[in-house]
Amino acid sequence: MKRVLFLLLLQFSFFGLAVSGQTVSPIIVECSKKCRGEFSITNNGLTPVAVSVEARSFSLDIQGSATNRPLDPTVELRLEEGSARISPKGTHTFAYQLKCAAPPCSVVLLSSMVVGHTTEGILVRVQLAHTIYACEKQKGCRKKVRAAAGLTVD
Amino acid sequence: MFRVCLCVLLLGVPVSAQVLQFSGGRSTLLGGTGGEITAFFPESTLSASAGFADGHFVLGPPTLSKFHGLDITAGDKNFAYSFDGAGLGVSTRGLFVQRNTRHTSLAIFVGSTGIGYATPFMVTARAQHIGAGVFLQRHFDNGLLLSSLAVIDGGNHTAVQGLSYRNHLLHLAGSGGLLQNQKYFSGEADFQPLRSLSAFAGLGHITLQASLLDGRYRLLKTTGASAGASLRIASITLRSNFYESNHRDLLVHMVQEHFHHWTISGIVNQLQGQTSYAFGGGYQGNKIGVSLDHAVLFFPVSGKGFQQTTTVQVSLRIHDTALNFQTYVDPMMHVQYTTYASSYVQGPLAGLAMNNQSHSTGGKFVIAGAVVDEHGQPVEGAAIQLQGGAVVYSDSQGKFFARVKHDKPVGLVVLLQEFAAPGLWAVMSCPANVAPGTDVLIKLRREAAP
Repeated sequence: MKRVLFLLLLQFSFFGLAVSGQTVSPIIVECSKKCRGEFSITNNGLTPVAVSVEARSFSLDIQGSATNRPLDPTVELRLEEGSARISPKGTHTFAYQLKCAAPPCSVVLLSSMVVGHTTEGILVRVQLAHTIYACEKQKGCRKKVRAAAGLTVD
Repeated sequence: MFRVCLCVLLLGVPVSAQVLQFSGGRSTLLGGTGGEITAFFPESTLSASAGFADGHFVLGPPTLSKFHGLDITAGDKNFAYSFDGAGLGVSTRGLFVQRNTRHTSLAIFVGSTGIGYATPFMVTARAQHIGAGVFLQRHFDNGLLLSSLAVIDGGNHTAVQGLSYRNHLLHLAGSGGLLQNQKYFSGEADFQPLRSLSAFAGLGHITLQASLLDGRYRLLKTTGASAGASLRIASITLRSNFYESNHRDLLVHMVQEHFHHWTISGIVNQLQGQTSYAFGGGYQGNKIGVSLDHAVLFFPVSGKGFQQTTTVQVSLRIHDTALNFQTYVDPMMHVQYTTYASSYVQGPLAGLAMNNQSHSTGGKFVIAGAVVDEHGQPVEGAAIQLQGGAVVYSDSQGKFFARVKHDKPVGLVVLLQEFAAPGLWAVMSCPANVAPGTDVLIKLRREAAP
């Protein structure tokens, strides 16, 4: 009887809410003023998540903090998909094409998802960023953008 | 009474579990057919497996792991540790407790040992002997590492202790004791660090590199040199590398094209006058992945020398189900395969599970719009289904878009049950059909909770 009670206690202690991490890769890319790219979102959780992707231009201040703004008119971005449903333990790749008419361009693709939500409105909103630095030449683009903002340390 | 309660408990597990994972498959390479069910709980995982392994029926008992933050496993698990040249791995069935901190690793098991069987779709062990084991490893800040392993595996006894020291110039290690009833001793001293010189240059799309190596590694004298060049033209990369080590040289030429989801590659190896090649390609998408590789491989065991081989790999993802198929060529030149599937089922406690819908869109025509509430505020996470099945979600500005292949009106439906947005919603207005190029406005109203 003690064994039965122990097993029942074991089962009743299982209830709760599971939340696992989501990841983005790569976090930062450098490219020339016309490029193709892609990034992947991995759902490490056990439930499917809906992801929507938004593009923003951003600028850096002297402290290195980024300020997002709507996409600059000089940036032409073609996203293959704007949203997706990612299966448990699944990975989804978002592909894009970017044209930067006035380099350098600093663009961030924000992948937003909600996890652990209920009809009562309890949720965790997760936002993962894929950052694109586009310059005349790909090499050292991020460094140039940071230097232009007055930042010298990585 | 106990059996009845146990049955009720086991039947109740799937009901109370938040997520269930079902796996099943067959592998001629690993010699088994079977499946596994795993129930995920917030603080623990419960799994059970059954099948045939090497011609024997195997049944994995319910295995509980990671119970309330403690790394405890009750069931089947491998107990495998090594240090300083000494190591031992045994399959166990019993109670396994593990604790890792920054400096210390401790693992203890009590139960039985036997033959383990691990595949992507089934993990079991066959108990054969009474067994127990302890592994303790302690890292010290000054570079010292102390290790201790003691295992009783039926009649085989192991008790090995090890001590090692490492800094950037010196590595000293010693271990000794009894390893599966045999006396064991191992000592190692490495000094004389590897000396190396390397150069790298990048000229636009051309990259050049060269390096020289001279020194000792684990008491063996090691010399070597390498040089290489690569050229990148759009999505095509051409690369040639030369390696020389201890008077053996290897020349590798490679061409690889990575375009969007497609990869094509070819490799030519020249080693000691022998030339072998491999080429292949594949497609890796969000729903399907396929690759086909052809290579000339050396088969010394079968006595057939160099032979041409082809291997295939296919992976599919249909909603929450993943399917995999892969072929191999074993050393006897027999084609073996492994195929398995796994799927997840969400329970009522796992949150608002989204139903099985197609979510991929493609094409050059765009249908875009916005979703707002009764106050004109954007609604994030609203699910909109296009005629044909594709579902898209609105972003934080309430905006959404989908690509379609044809420039003609398509039907539009708001899927309230698929919303990633919290709360209950009702549709105030939504056009039934929209044409590419027109802005769609969908109005919703938040409903009071019942």
